[in-house]
Amino acid sequence: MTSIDVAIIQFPGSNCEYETQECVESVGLSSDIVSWNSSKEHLSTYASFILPGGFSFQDRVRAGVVSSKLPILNHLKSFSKEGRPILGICNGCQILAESGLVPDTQGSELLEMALAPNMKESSSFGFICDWVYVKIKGSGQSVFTKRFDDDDVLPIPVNHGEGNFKFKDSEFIAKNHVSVMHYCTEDGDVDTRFPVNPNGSDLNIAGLSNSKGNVFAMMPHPERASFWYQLPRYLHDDFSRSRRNLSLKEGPWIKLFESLKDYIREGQL
Amino acid sequence: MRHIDLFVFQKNTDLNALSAYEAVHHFMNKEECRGLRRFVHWRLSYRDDVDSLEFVKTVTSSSFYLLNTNKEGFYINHFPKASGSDHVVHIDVRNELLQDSQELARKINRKCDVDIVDLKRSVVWECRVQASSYEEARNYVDAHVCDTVSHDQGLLVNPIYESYDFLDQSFVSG
Repeated sequence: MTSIDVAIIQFPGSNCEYETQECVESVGLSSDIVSWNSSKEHLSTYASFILPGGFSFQDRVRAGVVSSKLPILNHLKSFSKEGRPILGICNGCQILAESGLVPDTQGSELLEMALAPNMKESSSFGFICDWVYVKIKGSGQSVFTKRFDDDDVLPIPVNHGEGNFKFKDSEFIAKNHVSVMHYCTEDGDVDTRFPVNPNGSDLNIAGLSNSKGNVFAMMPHPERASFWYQLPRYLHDDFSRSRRNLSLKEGPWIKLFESLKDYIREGQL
Repeated sequence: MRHIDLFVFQKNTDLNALSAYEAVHHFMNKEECRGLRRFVHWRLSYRDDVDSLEFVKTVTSSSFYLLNTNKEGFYINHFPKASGSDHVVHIDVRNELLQDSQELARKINRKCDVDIVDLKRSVVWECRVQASSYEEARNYVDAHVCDTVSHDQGLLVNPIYESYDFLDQSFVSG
């Protein structure tokens, strides 16, 4: 029996848990920031889970890999099987990838993708911190993207050194996957060149769900684009134009947290 | 043309190795793994007519490109033989996306007035294993510690974009 809507998991080195909680609570969901070494019994009282951004274990060995070996990931796997929603943002995305929870196309939770170091035209260039645009294909098929339309072009910040999506079978992902977020231009064109694709990701992918649609992993930071005052004035999209003329009421990514609320309250996709 | 295998290690605690060992030994319960060390492996080919040690001293005394001598030490061509009864396995992990270090080689050549023709970087993990033979230790590491497959299987290599080889035992001196 769950009593609280969202557990935001704090790993050693997480640093986005408080702003993530701000977004969750702004849509009326209850939440706690919960330690990585919490028991399965304690975690079972939460309806959903968010793995926030940061640098867990200082990104040692590879970003997210040490956290992916913690007992809590085994607990999250069993909650995922029950259909409870799990969202991984940035470092949380890297942890979900290393643990096999996404894309999990076969339901086997084996490693199928990696977040490799950022690349630009076949050379590494290190960390990127910038605003980019994304669009979501199959938005209706994931718990976290249901309120978006496939035509939406959404500004969002990226902040990572290892965000380069590589897949065991990228053709399979291209043809069959349920909900996939792609980097694009402000006009919605999926241009594979830098800086539209800011890290060299296969298929311009910025995030994707598992095959059931209840787990979503994304490298950009939705918690940094959920309120009107978080958007920069200098971008050229409709959101930023509204920001400049003071008519913007909420940020583009609050819909992600509202989609989660819909699912928790209604209990279905 | 001369070749050098330069193995660079942290003089102080290596947190990468410490966390990798914690994860393998405690979280994945691979208890036969009794210790891990990490080295950055530079494989250089150069044309200068000096021996390996002289060449490395020339490069490291006038640049920090290959290592920072304030906090890193190095072995040339061979690791020292480890003491104790455990077997030691060396795994050489390469990032398949980042093969080209020629730009770095050009910078070193300019800065240090040397003639490096080829430069490759990889990471070597030294894994100490409780086993009855070297072959058994190597098979154990191969099956349980290298390729990441699932939550409790593999950590040091992500097979989607990395590959690995075991270094020959001839790399261990003595």
